[in-house]
Amino acid sequence: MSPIEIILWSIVAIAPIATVFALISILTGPRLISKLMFRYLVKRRIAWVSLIAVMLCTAMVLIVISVMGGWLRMFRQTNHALIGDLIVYRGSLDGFSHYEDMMADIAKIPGIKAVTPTIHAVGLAEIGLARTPNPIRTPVEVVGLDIKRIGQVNGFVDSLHLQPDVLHAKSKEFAEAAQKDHDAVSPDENLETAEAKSFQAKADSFPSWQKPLPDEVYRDELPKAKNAARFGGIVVGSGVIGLRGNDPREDFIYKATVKLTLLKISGDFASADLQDKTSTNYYWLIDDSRTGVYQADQNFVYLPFDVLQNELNMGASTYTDANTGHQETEPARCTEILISVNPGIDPHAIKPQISDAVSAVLQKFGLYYPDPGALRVETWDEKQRDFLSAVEHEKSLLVILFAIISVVAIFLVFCIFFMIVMEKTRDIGIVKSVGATSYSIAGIFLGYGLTIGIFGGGMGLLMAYLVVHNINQLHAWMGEHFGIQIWNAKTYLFDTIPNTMDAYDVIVIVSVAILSSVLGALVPAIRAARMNPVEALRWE
Amino acid sequence: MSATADKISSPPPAKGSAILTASGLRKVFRMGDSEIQVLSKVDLTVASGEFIAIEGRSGSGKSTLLHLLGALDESNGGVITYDGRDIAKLSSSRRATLRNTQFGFVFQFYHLLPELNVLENTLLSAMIENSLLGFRAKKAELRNRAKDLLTQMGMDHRLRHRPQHLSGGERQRVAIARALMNNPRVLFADEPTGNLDFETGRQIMAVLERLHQQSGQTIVMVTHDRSLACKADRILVLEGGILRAAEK
Repeated sequence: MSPIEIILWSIVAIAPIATVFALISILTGPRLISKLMFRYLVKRRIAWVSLIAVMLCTAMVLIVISVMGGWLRMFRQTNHALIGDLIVYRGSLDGFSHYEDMMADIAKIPGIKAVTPTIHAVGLAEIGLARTPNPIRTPVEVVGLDIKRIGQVNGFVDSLHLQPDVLHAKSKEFAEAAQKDHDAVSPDENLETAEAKSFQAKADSFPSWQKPLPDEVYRDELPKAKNAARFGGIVVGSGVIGLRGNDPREDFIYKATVKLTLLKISGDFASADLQDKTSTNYYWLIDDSRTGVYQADQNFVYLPFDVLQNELNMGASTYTDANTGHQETEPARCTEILISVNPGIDPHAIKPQISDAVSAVLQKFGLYYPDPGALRVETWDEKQRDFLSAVEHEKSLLVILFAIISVVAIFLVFCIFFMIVMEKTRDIGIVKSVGATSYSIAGIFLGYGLTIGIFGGGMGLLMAYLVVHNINQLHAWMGEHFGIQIWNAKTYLFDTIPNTMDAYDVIVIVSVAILSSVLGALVPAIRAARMNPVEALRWE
Repeated sequence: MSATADKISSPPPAKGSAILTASGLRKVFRMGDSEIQVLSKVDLTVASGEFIAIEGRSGSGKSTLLHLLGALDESNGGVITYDGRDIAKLSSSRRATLRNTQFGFVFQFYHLLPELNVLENTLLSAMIENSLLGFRAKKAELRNRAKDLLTQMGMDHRLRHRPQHLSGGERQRVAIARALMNNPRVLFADEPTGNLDFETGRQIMAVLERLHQQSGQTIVMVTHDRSLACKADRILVLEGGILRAAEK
């Protein structure tokens, strides 16, 4: 260990010792310690400067760490919720075949909870009410998923707006409105409107691709399209249709059509010839999804897995081999397999078994996917490692910055306490002449530092709590009044600023604030304790 | 009284027996390369219940002698004993306990703490002697004692006032009450009237005389004023670093 390290560690070790000494002095030492400590705190306004400095430092560190740590936590949670525990994927839109064999083998591994395939594709969406002239036209990432199974793997189902309670409420609303209109005519008749029944049926089959409104509504919306009622359902990211946060959803959004043009890629596809490889279809918008991940909510639309698979020609098909003339079967493809594990199972520990199962299927069917489009098995955090490690490095950098801030706070407390000790030299002489020991004198100033740390840290915590818990409202207010927008959802991926504080961070940061204050008071306290009472009494 | 104080103190000596002695006391101040010998060979015996006045010109070393006798400072030679024990051999914390429980100090410039009110300043030595919990347990008793002393000093109407709102005479009365709070066996008074007008000084001296006459309080007072020194049982003059007896 280098001499500098020895000095640094000594300082780190001295701070808790001095804090314990100050606490013991207050509790078991002379009554004068606590008396003068609090009296100085109230009467010596210069000490308030150090108190405010400790408060601001604590609040600043807590706010930044809470937002940054909260962001990291949110990022991890939402990505975990979107992906599941593990993922098998290819870095190519043409996907991979024999996924059903892989899924069957993976499902046999002890500890696996559920397995489901998904497809990711690109498309162009044109969203609008049938009778409105200005539809939304936007490029989208189309995700195909099995809505009945996806809930066992990730949190997609929880991101849907039309949850069972919302659907029940809508059903009740329609029934009551109809009953109210009809009561005047026939009060005894119990009315159940088609809308109420439709919402109720969707609630009963939740989660499903079922449309929330009755077929006739859709027919009425597009009378010229004979098969309008048969259009399938599509779920869109809330941001795709311009919804933010808890914006209210009007019923008319469930009468919107989505014209979706998909870029089809076959297994042997070599060039992106869009003219030959697109498919266009119409869907009714049946729900919106709000995962909290900006990228997903702004860009993703969701279709049933089999619908998307068929649209992309990724389903199983037969063809005649031109060379042999034999009928061959082209197996079905997907782009991802999402896997969840049972509670208590470490995804990292189970990953090798999944890799083995995938490799066995590849080997069995003689499949080979070379880099960069190789088939990979990764845990959810490995999939996001580039992003996660970058943010974690940033957090480490911040910790270093905050260490520097702590040193500044220590020096500030030191300077102010040094001034106070100089100013109070005669008082120190008086107290010593009346019988205070050097330990008691040290106790007064260390206790004073401890009090500044506790009050400053406590006030900083309160300030940070108020700011962090109202940070989104504050941010909106700043944007409204001063045009300041610090949080850009496009950059930070979430449309809201994290507003929770971690108990561990709070304990560590407030403790460091208290220790720093005591450390800052240490040298002045030692100086005060070593004063000769006669010289102190003569101090001018 | 604290346990430490019990160890230091012994049963009160009979009135007239020696309580505090100094022999061959020497004190030198260093000012850069030069040395100033303030006390060269001071011998002194203070008997219990005695009122001694030490007289001398300004700068003669009176206050220095008082600080040495009161265990506030350390000598460069000689021995001071309290109750037969060498003060120099006590640890600094034991000397602090001695100052807290056995000695009381009254200074020329009062030396009250500006952050505390009259009652709290009076309670200062009790707040040093007792812990947070100990003080709470005896709070009523201690406050009554402080109030009694302040009543004796005619200050019972200013309990909540801060020192800066008091006159010089009032401050000195509070300082005397503070010095008496822990029932000291020796009261050291350093020019107690030096900062007061004649009439107020006379009143303060009357307080000290009453303490001595009614309670048998041992008092060691330094002054440059012969008329005040004459109020004491015995007058000693400090001149040229040596202490000698003087006629009243």
